[in-house]
Amino acid sequence: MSFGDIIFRGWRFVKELAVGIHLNFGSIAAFISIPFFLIFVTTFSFFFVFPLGIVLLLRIIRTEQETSQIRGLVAARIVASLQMICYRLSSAVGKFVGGSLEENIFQSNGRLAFLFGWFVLLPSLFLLLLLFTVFFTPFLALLFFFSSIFTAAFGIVATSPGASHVPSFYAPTTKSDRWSRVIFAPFGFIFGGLHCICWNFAYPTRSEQTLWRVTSLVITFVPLVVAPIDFLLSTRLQNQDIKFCKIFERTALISLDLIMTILLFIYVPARLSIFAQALALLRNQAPSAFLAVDWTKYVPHLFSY
Amino acid sequence: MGGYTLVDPDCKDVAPEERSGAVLTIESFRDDPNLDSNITLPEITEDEIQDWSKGDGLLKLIAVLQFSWFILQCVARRVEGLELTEIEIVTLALASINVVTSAVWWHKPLRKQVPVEIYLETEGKNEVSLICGLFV
Repeated sequence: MSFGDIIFRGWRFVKELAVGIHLNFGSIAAFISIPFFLIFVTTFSFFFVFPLGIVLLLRIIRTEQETSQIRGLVAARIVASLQMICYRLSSAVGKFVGGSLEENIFQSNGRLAFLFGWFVLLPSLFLLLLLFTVFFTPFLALLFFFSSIFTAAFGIVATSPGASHVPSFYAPTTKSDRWSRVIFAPFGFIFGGLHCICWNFAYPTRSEQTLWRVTSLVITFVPLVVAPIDFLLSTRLQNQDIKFCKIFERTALISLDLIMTILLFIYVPARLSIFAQALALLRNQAPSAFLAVDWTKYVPHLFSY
Repeated sequence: MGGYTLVDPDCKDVAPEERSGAVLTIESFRDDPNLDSNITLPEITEDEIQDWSKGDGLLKLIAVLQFSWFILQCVARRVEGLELTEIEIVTLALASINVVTSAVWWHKPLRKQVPVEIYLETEGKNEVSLICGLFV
């Protein structure tokens, strides 16, 4: 069911109502009531059903089994609730787009579809917007946090004029610097590939499995793409500035640089996320994960019977 | 790495923490070709550098043994059919990279905290500030 479809059904609903009023109460009553009715329909969702919808959603989430299993910090509960809201909303939208809702509920009921569109879907979109804002603020804060860490880290790498010490990770720039990128590719690939060992592990939910697979794939393949681009850029721009390149070459180099930057912006959150996932997945492990290796089996039993 | 710092000859009698100096890097030689003739580099043997280093072979060996033991344990768990947790895999990945880092850094002296001071042979303060971009 498309958005246009909802509008069409809604319009039909309003028209039928208007016809009903016209037949029962006369044309003047219909003429006066329709604008009021339209205003009511459009604003009712914002002022009444929208807050009600949020309260209802929160109630549903509170009784959710996954959330109730968590015994811990309030912050953890809040994060779990927010994740649950995201999951519910995305699955609802997925189902709606997939048409399963239409088949089950709205097969023959245009009015119900209209009401669903205005009073459930629209408030959900507002809720999504609200969540987006809620999530965006910590993201920005994190961005500032990490940028300050980067500044501090580069402070360790570079020498300032008045420094009395060589920084911890000081290394002079040499001609062979660009080969470090070539090293980055295979080691990055091996590092990410080791994360892919968990591909077929048992996960508590399917979304966690997908998340792990996607992030481990990102960690595996981003170095393979980034390293050659970085090598190419540093080789090409070793002796000349990008200003002196021809227009086509300059465009190509800048777009490659852009691709590399975007990939690195994906890589860093993936690395952080996979670590957080590994910690979060500790909550639900198979019983054999708690057993130690029986090393005595591998010791030769020379004198045993 | 403490490295080398270029120190003003006037500061010889001043307490070490109050001495003004600038870090001597390859870039400073590159920037000023005359710098080489203005200083005498002290003779430092490899043994001396290793003596300043805070990490010795034993320390490195213990670290290597620890993460090799961890890798061995992961392999053994797999062989035994015991479940591996995701955090073990993450640690395994980090440990395997650690093996490479240790191999490359095996001979690197670690955490020399006090720099070797090199005194300029020609005039005092102004020369140092000129070379190192210092505002003394």
